[in-house]
Amino acid sequence: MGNRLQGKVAIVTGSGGGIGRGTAKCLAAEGALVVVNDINLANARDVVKEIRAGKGKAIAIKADVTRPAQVQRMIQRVLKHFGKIDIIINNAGVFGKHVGPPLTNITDEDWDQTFDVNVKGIFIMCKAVMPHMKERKKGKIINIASVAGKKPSVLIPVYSSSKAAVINFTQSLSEELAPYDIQVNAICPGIIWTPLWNALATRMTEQYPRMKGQTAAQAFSAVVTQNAVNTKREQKPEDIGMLAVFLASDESARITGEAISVEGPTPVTSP
Amino acid sequence: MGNRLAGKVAFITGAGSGIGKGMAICMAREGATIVIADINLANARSVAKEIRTLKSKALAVKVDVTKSAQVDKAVQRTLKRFGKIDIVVNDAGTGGEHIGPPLTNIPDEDWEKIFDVNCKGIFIVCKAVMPHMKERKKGKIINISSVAGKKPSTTIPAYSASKAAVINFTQALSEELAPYDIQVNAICPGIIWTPMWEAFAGKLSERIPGMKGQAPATAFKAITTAPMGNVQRIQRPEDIGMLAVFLASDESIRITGEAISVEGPTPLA
Repeated sequence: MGNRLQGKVAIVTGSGGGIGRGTAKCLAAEGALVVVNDINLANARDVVKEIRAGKGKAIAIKADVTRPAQVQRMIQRVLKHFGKIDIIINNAGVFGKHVGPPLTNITDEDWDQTFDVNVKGIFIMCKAVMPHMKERKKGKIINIASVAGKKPSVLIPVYSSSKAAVINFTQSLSEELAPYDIQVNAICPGIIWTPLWNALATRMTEQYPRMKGQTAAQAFSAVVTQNAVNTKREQKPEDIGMLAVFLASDESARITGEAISVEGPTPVTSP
Repeated sequence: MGNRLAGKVAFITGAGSGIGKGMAICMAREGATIVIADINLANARSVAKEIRTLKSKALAVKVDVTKSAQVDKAVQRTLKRFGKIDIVVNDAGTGGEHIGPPLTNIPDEDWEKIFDVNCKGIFIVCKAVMPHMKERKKGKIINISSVAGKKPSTTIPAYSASKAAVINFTQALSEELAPYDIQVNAICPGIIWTPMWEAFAGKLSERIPGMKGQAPATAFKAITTAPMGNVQRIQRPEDIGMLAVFLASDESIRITGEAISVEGPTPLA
C-alpha cells in the first residue's frame, strides 16, 4: 500500500459505483481514510467491504447531496469521528432519463434532476465543508466534471451544460479559497464503462432505430470505437482515481482552478 | 527514494538550471535515470553530480536543441548508454533579450531565437526520439509551455506566442502518437524564481515607476504579490517537478493532449 495520502480523511460522493468507487479505492490504496458516500447505502457498504479487504480504511455514509440537512449531518459525523476533513471529491452525478437529439426528447424533470445533483449538489457540499477547511487553512476540493463540459454532445445536451457549469464554478471557488491554501480543481473524464454509461447506452438502444435490439454493451462499444480503427476511446475508473490521488496530495499544492481531461484512448493491436 | 519512475530513463532538455533542474531532481528522487541535455555543460554536470548524490544515475550532455545533428547525437548516446528512452521533457526555453510594450522594442533576432529554441527545438527533439518510442509502442513526452501560452502578456508577446504554439503542437502530436500508446502533454508554469525570471524582473524594474534600481529579487516580490496583499503568485520548481513525475509515470497513461497550468499562488501569512 502506498502512503501519498497517509492519514488524510477524504469524502467521495456518489462512490457506491463507477468512477466514485474507482476513485475511493485509489485514495484508500494510498493510505487515506475514505468516507464512501452514496444515495444507495447498500452499494456504499459494498465498496467499504472491498476497501477493507485491501487493508484500507473506509466507512459508508448515506446522504443525498441535494439535501443540505443530510449533507450537514454527514459533515458533522465525519468531523466528530475523525476530527478533520482533508479532501472532498464531488463525484455524485446523473445523466437524466432521456437522450437527444432532438432536445425536445428531454423533459423538464430531467433538467431539474441533472442540475440539482451535478451542480447544486457540489455547491451544497462546498458550502458545508468550507468553514472547516478555511479554519484549518488547508484543503482539497476535486469536482468531477466531464469532457462534455468542454465540448458538449447533442446526445446529452443538458448533462453537458451542467458539467460546463461545474468547471466554471471550480474556477471561481479556486480564486476565493486561494488565500486559505485550499486548492479546487476539476477532473473531466471521457468515456468509462460505469452504471451511468450502462443506463445511457440502454436508452440509446431504446431511442435510436439503428441500435434497436442491441445490448447496452454493444451500443457502448460502438461509441467507443467510432472514430478510429486503431484506438478505442475508453478509460477505466482508475485512470480518474490516480489523477484524483495526485490532485488530493501535497504534490499538487500549486495546481488550482484547473479542469484536466482524462480521455486518452487505448490503442488496439488489431482493427 | 520513491519508485514511481524506477527503471525509467528520462531525457530532459534545459535541465541544467531553473525548472528543468527542478524536474530532473524530482524525477531522480522517484528512481529515474536522468540525461541532462543542456547548452551549458558546466550546469548540466553540476546537476548530474547532485542527482548521483540521490543515488540515481545521470549523464550530462551538451546540446543545442536548435541543431538537429547535436540532438541526434545526444539521443544516440543515451540509447547506447542506457538502452532506451522512456520519457522526454522539452524544457529548454528562452525569454529573449527585450521586453514590450511597445512591440517595436523587440528586434527580429529576439523573435527568431525565441521561436527557434522554444518551438523548433521541441519539433527537432520529438522527431529525433519518435522512431524509438514508436518501435517500443510506449513513451512519454512532456513539453514545457507557460501560462503565457494560454493568456499572453504584452511584456513578452513573442514568448507568449511561442508558448501557445507549443500547446497546439502538443495537441496534434498527442493525436498522432495515441495509437502507439505514447502520451504527449504540456505543463504551463506560472511565475517561478529562476534565472529566466531574474533576468526578466531586472528588465521590468527598469520601467516600473518606483522600482528603478531595485535588486531583481526585490522587484520580483513586488511584482508577484497580489493587489490584496494576501497571496504571492509564485510557485517553486518542485511544483512543476511533481506534475512532471505524475505525467511521466504509468499513473497517467490515459491523459494526453492536455496543457496543465501550475500557477496556484502561495498564501502570505
